[in-house]
Amino acid sequence: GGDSGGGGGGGGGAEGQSFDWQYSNYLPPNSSLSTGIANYFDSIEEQGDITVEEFYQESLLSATDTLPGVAQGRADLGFMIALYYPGELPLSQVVGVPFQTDDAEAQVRAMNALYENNEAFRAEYEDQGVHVLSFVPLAPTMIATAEPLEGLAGLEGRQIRAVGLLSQAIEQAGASPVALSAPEVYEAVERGVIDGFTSYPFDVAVANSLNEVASNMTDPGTGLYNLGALVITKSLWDGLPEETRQFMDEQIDQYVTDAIALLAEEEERTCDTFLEAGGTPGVFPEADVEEFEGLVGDSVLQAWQEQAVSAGVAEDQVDGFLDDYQAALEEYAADSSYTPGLVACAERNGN
Amino acid sequence: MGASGDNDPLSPDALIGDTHSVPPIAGTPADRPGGPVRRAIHALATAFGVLAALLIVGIMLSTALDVLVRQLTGSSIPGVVEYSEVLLAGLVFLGLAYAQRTGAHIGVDLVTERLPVRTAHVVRAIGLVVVLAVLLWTTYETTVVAIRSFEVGEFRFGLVPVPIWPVRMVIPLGLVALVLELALTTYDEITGARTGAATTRHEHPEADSSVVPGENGPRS
Amino acid sequence: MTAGLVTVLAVLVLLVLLCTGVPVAFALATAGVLGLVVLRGADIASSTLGSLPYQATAEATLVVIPMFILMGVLAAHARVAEDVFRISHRLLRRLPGGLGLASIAACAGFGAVSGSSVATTATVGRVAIVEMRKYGYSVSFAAGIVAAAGTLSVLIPPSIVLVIYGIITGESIGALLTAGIIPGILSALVFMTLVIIRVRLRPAIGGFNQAPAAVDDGPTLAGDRPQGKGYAGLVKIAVLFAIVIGGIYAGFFTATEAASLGALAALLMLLADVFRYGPRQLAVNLKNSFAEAASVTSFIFAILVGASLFTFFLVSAGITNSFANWALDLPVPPAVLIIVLLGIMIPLGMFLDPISIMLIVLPLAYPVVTGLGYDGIWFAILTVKMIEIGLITPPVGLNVYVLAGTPGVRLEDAFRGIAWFLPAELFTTSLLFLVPDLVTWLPSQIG
Ligand code: NA
Ligand code: NA
Repeated sequence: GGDSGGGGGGGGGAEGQSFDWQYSNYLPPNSSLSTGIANYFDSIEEQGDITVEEFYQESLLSATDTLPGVAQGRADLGFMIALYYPGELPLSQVVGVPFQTDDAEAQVRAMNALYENNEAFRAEYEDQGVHVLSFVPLAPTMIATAEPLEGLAGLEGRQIRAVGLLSQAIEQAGASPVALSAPEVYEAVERGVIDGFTSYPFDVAVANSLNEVASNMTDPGTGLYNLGALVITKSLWDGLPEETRQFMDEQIDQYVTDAIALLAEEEERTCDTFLEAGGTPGVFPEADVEEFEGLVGDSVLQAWQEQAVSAGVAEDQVDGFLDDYQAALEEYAADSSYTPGLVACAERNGN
Repeated sequence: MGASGDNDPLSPDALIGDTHSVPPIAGTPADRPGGPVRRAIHALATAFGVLAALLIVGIMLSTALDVLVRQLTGSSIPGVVEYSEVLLAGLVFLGLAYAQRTGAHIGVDLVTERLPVRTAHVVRAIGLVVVLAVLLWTTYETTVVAIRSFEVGEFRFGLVPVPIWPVRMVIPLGLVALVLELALTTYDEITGARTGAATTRHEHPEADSSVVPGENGPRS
Repeated sequence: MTAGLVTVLAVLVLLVLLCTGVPVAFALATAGVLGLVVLRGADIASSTLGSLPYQATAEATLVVIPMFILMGVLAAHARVAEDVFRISHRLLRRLPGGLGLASIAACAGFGAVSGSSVATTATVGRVAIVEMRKYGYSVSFAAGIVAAAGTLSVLIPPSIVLVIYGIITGESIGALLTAGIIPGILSALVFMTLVIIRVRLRPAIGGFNQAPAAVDDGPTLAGDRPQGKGYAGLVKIAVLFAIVIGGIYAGFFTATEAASLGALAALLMLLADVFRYGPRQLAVNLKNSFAEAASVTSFIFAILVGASLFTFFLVSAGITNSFANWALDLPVPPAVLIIVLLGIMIPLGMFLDPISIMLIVLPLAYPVVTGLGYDGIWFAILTVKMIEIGLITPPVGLNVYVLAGTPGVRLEDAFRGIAWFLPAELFTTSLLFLVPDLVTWLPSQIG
């Protein structure tokens, strides 16, 4: 039962205050990502008088409704992805520019640091009415196909479901991007309506049994394409007692460490499942990745910059953010040990 | 008897408000005050209904064309899926008032049918007033969302960025037309409670498919 | 106020509003919003009202619904139901209750191009009931046959109800549509057997061996319209079914694409009728088809939005979470639990339409059913059977209401005629319950 305690905020930090929050995650509860966030909730529930009621699989908010839903307090907390909100979160879309990084840990730590230090980036979320507790690591995308995909040349003429900036990149490689909603992908590949799909991480694709219809999963070297975020209603956050906010923040570093470990474990398990089911993991040969990167050049990056400017971000802010992002990626990559699960899987399989 | 269009909700006759086409109503057309208002409200509902129908046909044609192009050239027409999705939200709200006018929105007559005529009118009027209040509230809230959507230039993700704000604006417009139709029905129920006139009812439009308006038409 | 108390209050508000006769969609929305105001405050209710109308309708997978509706109304105006009825009559007239059997066949045939049970009942009813009465069938028997057989349309693909089941639960829409075929044919055969038995036992109700009696005028097959032997209609149904279900099954198109192509083909068929009926009739038919498609689409989506508001309130009150946990912990055999979940839908069917029932029940029931390890597609077909029963039971039996519009048919007659078909429905449902392969075998062959 959920009499909403902290909804609306403005509470002013009385001693012994208790909080009863509703959290929406459109993914199933048994994914590593959901487990990581649930573990974080356990840690804050222990320290404060907080109870989080968890809702999964769009039972409270739909995937595309999470940002406005949390902003308006229809849920107090939510897991959302940046890809669904190109208009609202223009700077965050930088993650969709291919060939930036495939290091999920470095990206999340970089984004968490930028949220603290880059005003324009933070404002992007706060103006929408949410506060980001932490960004959430997601695996890089792969290209899944029914027929084997040896390399870049194999993309020529293929119909591939794709989303966002990534669709521009595969178009430059000669593929035809197709717009399909996620629930339609399975049947569309099964029936041969499309040849394959991208804009999907390895672990999620296998968890959704998509390997049943597209048993060839290939890392094209484009890297990360999306960004997850654990958000809380801004007015609720602002109204929390200082000490509550503080211990919620203190757990974040541990959360990221856990989340990366969980992701790596999940990707390893995914590899087992995938290989047992007869799947073929692959990576593009290095020369192909270079050729792909050359084909794409700066075009997608420029498209992102133009979109951000037309969404109302000042040009110098866009450039400043890009510089900060790239610098932070480099800084955090040094301490990261993350390897994309599909790349590891291909190595294990002896490719 | 007109040759054709007797059952045609889009015919000029229907717009003027003969007994075939008016919603549950008390008294004869002559008793009804505010004829022009009634006509204007029905005209709005019909105009929006026509737009909704055109959008359905448009989605059908563009989707079929997309399949054809894909079979011929191997690639889809960018934007068909995205635009269909966004237009769908618009067309269903455009059609709401027209659906109300043609009796599509089904209610439960079980109780009111068994009440004395005047009491039934009062009970129906009370129900309608409560629903109207919530619909007016919804109209206000969707307007607020629409204005904000326009200000930020909201668009949908996908292969092609599709602006959402026009559809966000259509939602409150469709709701306004629905509220007007329901207000008219409420007015009629209140009038009916005063005069004690019986209520005429519509058939659900899905029951109309088999009605052949031209039964005694030109070819016979 | 506790969440449980607020829920009771909201359900009461819903029932009272339904009793005043306001449309179901608006009653659901009102009850949901009032519940939200009490439970979570006016701000949350406001923002939900602002965003949910768009969120609940702008969904690519929902585009298939107006396409199926359009195909159905266009096919109805292209007179395919009359054609199938005419052919079936010729083939079956020597059997006891031959016209009744032809009516069932016409419902099944038209059901293969129409996604809605109400449309099928109305379309076939106008022709079949008048014809059966002409041959001396009792009014209630004739009305019962058509109202019951009209429900075949939700089982035999295309089916809007199955599409919405797929959207709520995430089950494959193609598999759901395919799963309806065998149970649909089975249901039709059970209905036919019942008609034969009834007429054998009481030949009078089926007018067996009676000469056509004079009944009041109405649109009849023997009317002044030009008509062939009816093969055109059979061809049209075969073509539309091949495009839609064949296209989905063979993997040429997605469900939305198949439905759009089906609607386009039906439009072309209607346009070709210009040779049969002349341009003026064609214009009227086109206009009526489009107007009806718009009305029915908005009606269905109004329910979708209203029921989503009510469901958001239920979820937000924690009812869904606690229900699933409570049900899964019950010390009863899983099969009993499934029967109870299905049984709940029968009283709900007394007040609500199929889509509202699914939107309210499935978020509660589906996690329990799959949590117990049952097949979601199997449960879909059983849900549809429950919904069919709801469509023909008083007080709100949409199919029966529609028939009550036919000249000479009173609501009481229709409900009386239906009584015989309820045990038949329960028999078919039990068979599907006990032999899940009847449902799951065909979809497992896809791909
Ligand atoms: Na059907
Ligand atoms: Na019923």
